Amino acid sequence: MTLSANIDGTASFPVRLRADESAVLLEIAQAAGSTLELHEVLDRVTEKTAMLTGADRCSLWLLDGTHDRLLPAAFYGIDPSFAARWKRKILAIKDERLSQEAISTGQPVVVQDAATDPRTDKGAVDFFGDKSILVVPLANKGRVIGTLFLNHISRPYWYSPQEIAVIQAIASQSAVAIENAQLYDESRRQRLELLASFRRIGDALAAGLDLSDTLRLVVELATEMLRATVGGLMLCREDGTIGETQWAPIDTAGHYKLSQHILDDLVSEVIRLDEPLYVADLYERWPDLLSKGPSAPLRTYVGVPLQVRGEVIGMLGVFHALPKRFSPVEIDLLASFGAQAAIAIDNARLFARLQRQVEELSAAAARNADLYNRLQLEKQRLDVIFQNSTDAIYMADRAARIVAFNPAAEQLSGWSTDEAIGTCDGDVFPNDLECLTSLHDATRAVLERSASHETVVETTILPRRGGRRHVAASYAYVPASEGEGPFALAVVRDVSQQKEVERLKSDFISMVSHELRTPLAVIKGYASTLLNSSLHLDVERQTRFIRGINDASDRLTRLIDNLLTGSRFESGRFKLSLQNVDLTEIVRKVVLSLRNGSTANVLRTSLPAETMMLRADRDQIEHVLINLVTNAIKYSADGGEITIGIRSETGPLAPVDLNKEDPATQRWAVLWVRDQGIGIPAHQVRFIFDKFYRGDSPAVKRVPGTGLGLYICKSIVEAHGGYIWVESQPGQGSTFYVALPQE
Amino acid sequence: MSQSILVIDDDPDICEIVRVNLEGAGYTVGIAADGAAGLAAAQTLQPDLIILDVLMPELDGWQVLEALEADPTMAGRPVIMVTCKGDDQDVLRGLSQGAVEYFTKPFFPENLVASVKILLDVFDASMRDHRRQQLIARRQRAIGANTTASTPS
Repeated sequence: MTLSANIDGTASFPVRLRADESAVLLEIAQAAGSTLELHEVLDRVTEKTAMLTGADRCSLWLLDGTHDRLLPAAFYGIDPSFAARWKRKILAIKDERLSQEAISTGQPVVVQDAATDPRTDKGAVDFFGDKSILVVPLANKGRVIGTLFLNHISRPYWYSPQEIAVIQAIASQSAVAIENAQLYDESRRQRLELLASFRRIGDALAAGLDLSDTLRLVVELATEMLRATVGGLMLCREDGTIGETQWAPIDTAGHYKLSQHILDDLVSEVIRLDEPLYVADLYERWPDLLSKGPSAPLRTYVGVPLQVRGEVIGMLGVFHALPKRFSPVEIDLLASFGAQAAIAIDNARLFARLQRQVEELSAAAARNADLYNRLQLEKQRLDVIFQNSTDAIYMADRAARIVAFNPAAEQLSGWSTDEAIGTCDGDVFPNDLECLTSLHDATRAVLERSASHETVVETTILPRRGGRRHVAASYAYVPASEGEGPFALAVVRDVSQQKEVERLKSDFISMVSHELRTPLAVIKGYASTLLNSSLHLDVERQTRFIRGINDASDRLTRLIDNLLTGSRFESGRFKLSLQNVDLTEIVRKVVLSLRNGSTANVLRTSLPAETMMLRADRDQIEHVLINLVTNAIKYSADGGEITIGIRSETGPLAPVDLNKEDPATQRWAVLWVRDQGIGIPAHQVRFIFDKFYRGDSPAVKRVPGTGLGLYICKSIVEAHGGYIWVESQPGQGSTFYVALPQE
Repeated sequence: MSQSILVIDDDPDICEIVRVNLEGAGYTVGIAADGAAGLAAAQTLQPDLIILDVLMPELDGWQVLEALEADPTMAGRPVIMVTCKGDDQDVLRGLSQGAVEYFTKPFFPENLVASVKILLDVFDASMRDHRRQQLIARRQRAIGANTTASTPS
């Protein structure tokens, strides 16, 4: 120490110092107390100290955490642009011998002549032109936090011991202010970090993080905030056991080999206590941890409960590899972060649950939509059935008023849907009064019974356009639903055709029975009579009886032929056996055999001289001819003339459009049979070739017949690729034509 | 004087068969080829018995039967139906309308002759009616019908 070296030129200083000493100290204390902003405190300290000592420059340097570097903190008396650059200058303690000495001794270091003193940085001294330098350690309660430099440039300055003592006081005062500001700064940084963490959690929530992402974020933030080695978060299940667990960094749990029972103890204790738990050194509590010697030990632990709505949902804890690492402030910090995080986790859980519910709801909605679509489809299908059914379908309400009516119902009733809707079904489907039941009665009955009994009614209705239709209606009861109904649903089938077919069949059977019985009765009657020896019949009579038997047998044979041929057509077993035949010859033969029979009619022929050859089934053509001629005989009065003729034709046949599909050069063998009989009314002409059809006039009725003959003729002719038609004048006679193709 | 029988049938062969057999048995036989002619002949000839077909031109057998029963001079005269219409319903109809016997074609001429003999020589009117009711009851049992026969006046 060289404080006493020079007293000269310092005469005025003590006065100034004395005058200002207490004021400056006060001022520095005030400055330090007026603000907790570190840089402001530092600026005030340098400024006031420089002013007090008359130094040209004053600077503050603070030790960093490692205590081997000095960071520039504040300058006074340097050009501001230069100061900014200077502030980035970092001094290594080992290079800065003045500070090194001041810090190591805890005492001020005075440099009287900077240019010559071996401890100074000559570059800086040269640059600034320093004459004398004072370096004072900044210490508070024996702890050094940095150094204070005072530099005189214009002239060397001699510090008195009092001055140095005052500057030391300033330095220690400043150290307190700086530490306070630093502490404040630190706590503010922590607060800001906490806020930032909260904000990140908030952001994460806003971004819709799922639960595991939220857990990871919370652990990461907590670990980061407390500068911990490892962080862990455990959620409780409903039974109190540890459920979902999240570590940070993610793969640490295995690495640190923290035994499960210790972890369980720590977690369950926090949860049980429901308040923060701090273990300064895990080794003290579980000495056996040492003996087990984990590769990467964890020493300090702090855990806080995660609480939501008064219920502990889990634990957030952090570990440090070194013992006694977390301060009470940090524990509080973790606790308040934990409180916030718990809410975040709860929110994420709620959100997840909500999302699950939303998903379930949307799945349900999708199922509903699917169901709806299927119902729609079903409805469309039913509608297609309803619209296209050939059966009339209608639905009637309690008052038997029609509420639904399909096109087939329009067709059957002659009512349009618009007219029918709202009208009583008894008006739309009026009943033939001869019938005992009506559709209307059936509707009422179904609605009264209120049940879907099988209800089928057969009746005859009178359509609007006239005539009568035989219908079979089946009913269904449609129960009331959603304020509508009940209804009666009727499916009405027009069975007139069916009835007609049934009638034709039954007529046919009784006709066949008659047709069989009549010749049989003749055969049996004559035969029995011939066998009756008591009658003593003469030869002439016997011969007549035998001819009668013969004729009746022919009749029977023809009938059986027709029946068999008809049945072959029905079953598709009909086959032609084609050969070259002469139509002229067939006609001659048939006419001859019919003339031999006991007919009361005149049979004439109109035949060409030459043959008329064609490919045909001889037996079947004979069959056609016999049918046509016996028909002519049946419907002619006795003595009526019947003419059978043949002619050749080319191209179109007599009825318009009959054979327009055939080539114009097609040659035809046309066979015709003309009678002078009862004729056929025009309206029946188109039906006479139908199976079982028989005219309905009394003249026809009393002539027995099966209704098969002409049907069989037509079938045979068409099988040959030919045509059959008739020209007729009622009361004058008919001519049947058969055209067969010639090659 | 032999008893007279009228045959009403449009089939000449049947008429011939019936006539030959009845004449062989000693009856006088008249023939009519349709219903209208038959009814006229019945009124003219006043036969002791009538043999009647159903399916005929002009009037059919049912109509003839009805007309005969309605005619006081003819009512109660025995009528035998000989017809192809052999359904129970047809038989019942014939008997109900007053026929006393019903033959379905084909038939044995000897049986017809035997029936004619019994009806004319053995049975009186009440026995014929009794016989008729018996036949009706039998047919009704056969078809399970419950229609009662109308008694001819």
